[in-house]
Amino acid sequence: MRKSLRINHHPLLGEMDKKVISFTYNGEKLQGLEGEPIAVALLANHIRILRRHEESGSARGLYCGIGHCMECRVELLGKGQVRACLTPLKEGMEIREGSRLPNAITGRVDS
Amino acid sequence: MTTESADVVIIGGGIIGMATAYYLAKLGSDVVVVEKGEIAGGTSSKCDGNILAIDKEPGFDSQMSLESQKLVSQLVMELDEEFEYRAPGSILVCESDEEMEAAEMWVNRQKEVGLPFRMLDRGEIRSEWKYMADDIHGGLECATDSTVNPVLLTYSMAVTAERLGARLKTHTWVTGIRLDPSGAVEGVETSSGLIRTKHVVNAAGVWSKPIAQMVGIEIPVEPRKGHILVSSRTESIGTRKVMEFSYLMSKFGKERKVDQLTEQYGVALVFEPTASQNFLIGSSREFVGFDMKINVDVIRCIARRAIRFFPVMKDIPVLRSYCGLRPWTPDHLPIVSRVEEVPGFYIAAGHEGDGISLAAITGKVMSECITGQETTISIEPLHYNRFKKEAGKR
Repeated sequence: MRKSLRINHHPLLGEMDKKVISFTYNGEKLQGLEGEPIAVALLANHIRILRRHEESGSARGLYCGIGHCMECRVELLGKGQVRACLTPLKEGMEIREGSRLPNAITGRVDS
Repeated sequence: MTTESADVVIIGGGIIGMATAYYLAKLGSDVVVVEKGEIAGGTSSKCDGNILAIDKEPGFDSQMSLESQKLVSQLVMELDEEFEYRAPGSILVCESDEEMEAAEMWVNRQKEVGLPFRMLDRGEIRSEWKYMADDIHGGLECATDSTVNPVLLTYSMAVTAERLGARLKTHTWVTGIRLDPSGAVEGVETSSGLIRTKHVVNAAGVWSKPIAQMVGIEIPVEPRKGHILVSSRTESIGTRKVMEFSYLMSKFGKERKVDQLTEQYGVALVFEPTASQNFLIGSSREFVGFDMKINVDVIRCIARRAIRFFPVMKDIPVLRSYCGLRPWTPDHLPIVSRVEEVPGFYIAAGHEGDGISLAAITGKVMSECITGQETTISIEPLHYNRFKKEAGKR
């Protein structure tokens, strides 16, 4: 069992006593705190790769953390692409990492 | 401060200026381009990239685009760098039977002047576009329409022109145009010195009006602002350009059946897939001077219009948006012309949203005009004289 990355008691913000909820990431059942950003819930579960670049397939993760760089896009079932750093976690969310895609214009087909 | 000389000085390093520089250098002219900022730093990098005949008035206008398409297909071989060229054709889609009737007339008029247009029925639209709204009535196609990355094309022409001897002076601005006692051009005064020359091309786009005023000429070129949205990379929605038929109404200032904001901002769907797995979405048209601020209300209006045609887009993030100023003229045709009153002064400006489409043919005929050759197409309809009476009016 890996050590939790969570801060349970913060010297300024106090006790982190949000409700624990369940969600899935790439089909794996995980737990996070209700309302925290998806990226935070994943980080607390030791998951840092949020997306594979659509062209090159190389790994992408949390970068700016404030919604600006658009690097942390994940697939949220029923919502399409969302930014993991800005989207609050809800009970039962089904999330998948952003994946490499074929390129219909250049004709590259592997994905 | 230095003094140098050139056969031709081109004012403006956008796509029109670089096309003119390339074709002149190819003919052996000694060319200097004077650009106040960077190459393609103005309108040519704040647009989308197409060589379209589909949205041109049937006749001279659409044939000029067809010529430009032929030239661009040759540029793929001639230029030193690649510019994401493809020629998949483009389509316009109709929302109603009335639009279908108007589209049929448009297609027939284009076919009469020899362009490869045809109608598309509802089934053809649906089989090509699985993500398009299912209430679309049909559309039309222009088979030869092509697409480019406008910034790469401008730079490709720039580096090729340089290889052929053209000199590009960026971050250099024009402070005056020197005339000899007879009133003919004898030089261009710039922030880095005088360039002696007998030929000046005003290719300054939305900034061409003050340049023309330097030699006492009034041209009715006004900035018309357009916004464009950039999507994130996503699964392909389609591989060629789609516009709504009523884009033509917006372009030519005709009445449309749309809500008040869509009308006010001149919003019409333009979908343009790129080689970067994403797409650009336009369009808007506004006269707001040189204001380059993004207007969120316009962005929202464009997005709403896009989702009306492609409902799937409501779940695709917009990465960013930008706007550019298009050099509008009252009759929607550019000015590609010599100026008789000022021998040696030429204008290649006022292409509004057709600058990428018409850059190649504009540069080609400008080079022919300056070197005294017969032009590839007649440029009489593009003469600046047509605005002499109504200069300045909108």
